[in-house]
Amino acid sequence: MIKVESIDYKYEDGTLALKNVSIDLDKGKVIGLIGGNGSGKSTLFLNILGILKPSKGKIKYNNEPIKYDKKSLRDYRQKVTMVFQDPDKQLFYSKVYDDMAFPLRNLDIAEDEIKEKVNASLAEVKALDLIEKPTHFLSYGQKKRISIGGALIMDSKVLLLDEPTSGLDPAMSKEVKSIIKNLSQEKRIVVSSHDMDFIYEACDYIYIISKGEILGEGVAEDVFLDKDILEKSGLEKPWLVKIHENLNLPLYKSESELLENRD
Amino acid sequence: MLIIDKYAYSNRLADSDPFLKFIVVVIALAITTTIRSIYINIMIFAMMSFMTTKVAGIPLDKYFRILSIPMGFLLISTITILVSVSKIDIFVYSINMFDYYIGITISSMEESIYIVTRVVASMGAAFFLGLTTPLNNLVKVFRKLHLPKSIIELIVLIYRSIFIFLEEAQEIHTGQELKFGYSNFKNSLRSTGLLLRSLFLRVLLRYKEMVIILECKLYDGEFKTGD
Ligand SMILES: Nc1ncnc2c1ncn2[C@@H]1O[C@H](COP(=O)(O)OP(=O)(O)O)[C@@H](O)[C@H]1O
Ligand SMILES: [Mg+2]
Repeated sequence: MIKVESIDYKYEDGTLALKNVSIDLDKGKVIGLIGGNGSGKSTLFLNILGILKPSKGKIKYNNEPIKYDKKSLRDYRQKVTMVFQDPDKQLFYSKVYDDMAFPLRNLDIAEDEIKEKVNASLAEVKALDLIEKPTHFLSYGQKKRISIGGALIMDSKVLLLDEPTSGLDPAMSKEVKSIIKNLSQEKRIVVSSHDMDFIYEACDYIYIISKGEILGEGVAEDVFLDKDILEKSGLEKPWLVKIHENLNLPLYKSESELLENRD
Repeated sequence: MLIIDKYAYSNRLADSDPFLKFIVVVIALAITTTIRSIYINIMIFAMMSFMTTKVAGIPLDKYFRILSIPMGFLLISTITILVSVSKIDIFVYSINMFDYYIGITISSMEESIYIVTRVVASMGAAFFLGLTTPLNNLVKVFRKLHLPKSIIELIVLIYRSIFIFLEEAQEIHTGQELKFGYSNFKNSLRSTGLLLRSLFLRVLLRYKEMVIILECKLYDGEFKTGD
């Protein structure tokens, strides 16, 4: 799978956005990347995708450093896909079907097969009814569904989700959580967010990033009990951890677990 | 303006054969450019607007509002054909300025009416195709015509860029309006300047993002339509 080995990334204007970052995507099935605004989450994702090239260090896929020529990147991006934070920017065509079909058409896949895959991906994100809709006039949540569906269509091995719950209502956040859970059966998932509750419930291994540096890592239950790291990165504890510490309750992984064990 | 795109995808003729529409439009354009008749031009326009509004179902008021944008330019440019200047009074209507007459002759009037109807007919035809055909279907037609890939690429990217440009302009304008940026003439001038400057920067940024998205979607220099 993917290993990020001590990379630095510097933007053209001199901003050092990543400092000696190392990440191993074999540590869990759903990896969380938490950090505040501007901490370097999106920059790290773009480096993993090969859109940006680290100024120091390497990114390895199956123990081979990724190559940056056009053909290698094209192959690589069939295995690693990303859902961008802003769904508006991810949509290219104005019709849902055409937008979803676009990458498959670029791979010269037969249209019948494309149709099946579009249907399957839309079903996965519960958006089959939108297939013929113009994308510009969908609601934010609908656009988000389509952009997640669009990333699923490639059947990639790794899926990067950049702040998938930002701007969504609680019901839709919950749904994204269950979509992630389903997908984690068949592919490796990396989720960035500053929504602690979401990350705590959705992820099994977590990296904390602050000002371009990895401050800490570990399984969800450990990381969130580490006061120092959380304080240093300016993040809040998930509410399940807070009630564990303050109300002397056991540490539950999800709300449903808490409710089941209440009596 | 995004409304054009919405109709292209949701009108009753959206899924009809794009080649058929294309041929109809080409014939209409051929007739209006070769046959010199005001009546034929008017008929073509009437037919095209009938098909766009009644058959495809695009609301009449929206249709005329969209048409009115290029019509404005058309009217301005006809004035230069309509009005001419001469030392002797050969005009039907004219005003005298110094030693010259500025006015309209019968032939300039006929010529203008003829040109206006021809342009209106052509516009009706072009808008029929543009308003009722989704981009992907237009690309199908271009590919069938064996237009060079790079030209098709340009068309698709320009089409996309127009939307990016309008979206960003709209967003900046709304922001400024909320801050009373257009409350008087002086403010309006300043706001327009600012709008143009930040529009330029934001469109560049959106362009960069678009290139990233195209790369992620495995775009390889050719827009494929799946046929
Ligand atoms: N295109 C860019 N040019 C210069 N600096 C950038 C650019 N994009 C992001 N940055 C800077 O890099 C840092 C990390 O940004 P980003 O990766 O977007 O953070 P996050 O996704 O965690 O909010 C920030 O300081 C940001 O200002
Ligand atoms: Mg970000």
